[in-house]
Amino acid sequence: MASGYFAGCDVGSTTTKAVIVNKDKIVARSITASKVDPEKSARAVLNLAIQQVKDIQGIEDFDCLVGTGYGRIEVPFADKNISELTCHTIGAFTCDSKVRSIVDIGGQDLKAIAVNEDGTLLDFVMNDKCAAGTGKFFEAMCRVFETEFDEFSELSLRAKKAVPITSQCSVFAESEVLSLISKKVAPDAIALGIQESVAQRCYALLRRVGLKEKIAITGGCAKNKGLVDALTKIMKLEVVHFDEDPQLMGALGAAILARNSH
Amino acid sequence: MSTPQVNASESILSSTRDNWLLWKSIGKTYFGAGKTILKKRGPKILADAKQYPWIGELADLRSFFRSVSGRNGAYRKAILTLFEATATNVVDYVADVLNQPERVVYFQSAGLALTEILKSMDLVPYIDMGIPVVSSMLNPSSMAVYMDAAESEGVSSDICSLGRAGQGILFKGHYPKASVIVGNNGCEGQVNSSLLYAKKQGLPLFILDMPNIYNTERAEEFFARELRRMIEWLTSNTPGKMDWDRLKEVLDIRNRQEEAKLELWELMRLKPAPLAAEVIFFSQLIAPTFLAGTPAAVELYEALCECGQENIRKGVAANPNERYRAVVWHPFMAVHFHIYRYLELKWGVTVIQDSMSYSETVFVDTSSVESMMRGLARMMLNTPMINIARGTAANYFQTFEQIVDQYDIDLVLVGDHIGCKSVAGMTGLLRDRCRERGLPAAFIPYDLIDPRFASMSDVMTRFDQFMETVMKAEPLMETVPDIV
Repeated sequence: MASGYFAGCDVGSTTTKAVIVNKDKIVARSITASKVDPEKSARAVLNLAIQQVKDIQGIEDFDCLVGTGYGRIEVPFADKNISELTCHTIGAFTCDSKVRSIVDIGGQDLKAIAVNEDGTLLDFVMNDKCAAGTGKFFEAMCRVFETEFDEFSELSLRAKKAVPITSQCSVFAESEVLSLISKKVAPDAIALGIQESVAQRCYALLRRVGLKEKIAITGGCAKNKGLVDALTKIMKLEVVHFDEDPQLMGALGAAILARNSH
Repeated sequence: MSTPQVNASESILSSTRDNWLLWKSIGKTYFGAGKTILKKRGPKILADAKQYPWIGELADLRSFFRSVSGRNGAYRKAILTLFEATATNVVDYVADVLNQPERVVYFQSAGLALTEILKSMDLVPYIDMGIPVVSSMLNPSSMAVYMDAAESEGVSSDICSLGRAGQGILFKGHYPKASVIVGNNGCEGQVNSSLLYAKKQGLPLFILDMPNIYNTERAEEFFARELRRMIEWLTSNTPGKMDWDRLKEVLDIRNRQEEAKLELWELMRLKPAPLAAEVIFFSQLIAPTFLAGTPAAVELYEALCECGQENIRKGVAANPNERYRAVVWHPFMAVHFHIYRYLELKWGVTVIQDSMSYSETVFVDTSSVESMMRGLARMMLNTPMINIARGTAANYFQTFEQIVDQYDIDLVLVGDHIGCKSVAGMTGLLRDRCRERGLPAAFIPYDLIDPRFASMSDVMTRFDQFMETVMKAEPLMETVPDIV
């Protein structure tokens, strides 16, 4: 008998996300740290989401489960696996149908996506050869600043002026930041320099794919307020604010695709 | 052309025929190559293999033969014909280089071949890119040791992997002996190579100055004078002497070679295409370089055309599931050349033409020395690397538009070779141009002969993502056999 529930699971390099929808709305969400084994990651995050829905006992109860993931990673027990690019596009478009450009800042890569008026993907570019500007980079910066992500994300908002970070590589950027901190340069100014350097990368990727309003940021780094602010200033365009957690866009898109395919 | 219905017994018969083609080709290739080695080098080849380890890499041809898996009939035959010609002629070429070091002219090619001139002077060409490209097609990791050697000596890792491989072969002392070096300014990644080779080996060096604006009378006149200057220099610095009558013969054959090539290219305008991929770019890799101006080049193109005609007579396409006609823009992925088979079988993409093959076809007027020199100048200035990878953006886009229009292209596969800075600078404009024309374009970052930057798996994933998300295509099969 059909349960009326559909799930999407997004196995990322750093975090794994799950979203459960029924025919009308999102009914459950969960995010966990990714394990080495993508199947274990997927099961763990889905089980966490399932606990929020009393009508579902296990993964087998979904009418359809769509998996997605980083690179060639798949959810082995999913009914279908779909590219994360498509899932992010659908997820963002579902939240705001006027989105035409997306920058997805994940744990280990950056993607820019151009969206058609019907919500399908038009074009994309990726930077998956370099960790600079990704979640890994911000993790490293938080370590250097000896602070948590939320605190770091607001630090730059207090700065009046940025200290530019000249290194292109995240490894060298870390050394450069350490050096600046040891010279007692204002932390908020350094933080603003970091945000601006990442924003510049995002902007360059968006320009390559064709920048068009409205613009959305997805992925965990979308919760970095300083980055969103820096990108808004560089683009001179507003970034869409989703009611949903932007980190869930891939999983949400997968869940919508699961629902649509049934 | 429509794809005819095939019954079970016909299917078994064609499968048997295809297997027979493969095994026959394997036998013919190894027998032919072995015979040439024994005749030209004899037992010395063992010492050669020790002194030049890349010779061992050239002996393992499995990658070539694996590439016909899933490709059938006359298309399979065409590819096998190409590989047979490659193997036997590369062996011949290497043997000549080792046998006559005093006559060897190392030339930094950048796609520019001086074979016709050198052979007419009874000199032996050593094409610097030949070994790295062919070797990396056979074993993608084969050039890693040389690239690492170059970087250990201080060569920047930013330069093209082809340049680094050649330089690494030099640093490791695995370079065959030569008498002189001829360089050119055709390829930014290899410009410094000639200087390095000359310095390291203490050999005389001549640099051909190739004008950036290439398609004018003035450029042709200038370059014809450059070629004369080079010939005079070679006469002074090597045992070679120009035999103008021989050059005329070579160029007459070259003209026939160009006619046969044009016929092959003309076949590619048919939909669906009777041949594809390696038949185009590999024939252009081999014929204008190793085989230029020889009857073997004419025979090769004629054999390929015959395979194409066979498919046309039978009403059969190279790719029975052809859905998209693609141009490969920027260098074809030498180190991952199996990707074209992958795209054919999984996504129905047929590669029709490529930017490193296509150029204006030049027929040389052999009625006088002056007309021959002008013709050679024009021919060389039209070499794709010379007119696309440098000079003005107009050159680049003119060629692009010609290919797209002539071959009715509906998909652009861009080998985004990270080592080529001059071409990388055009990427944004190319994207814009593709958008203006409504042409989907896949930009796949990779390094020409270094699989460590982007592995075969990375490249397949990128193409899969593009086909699934941008083209919204359904795969024809989940897993393509014999992809390593």
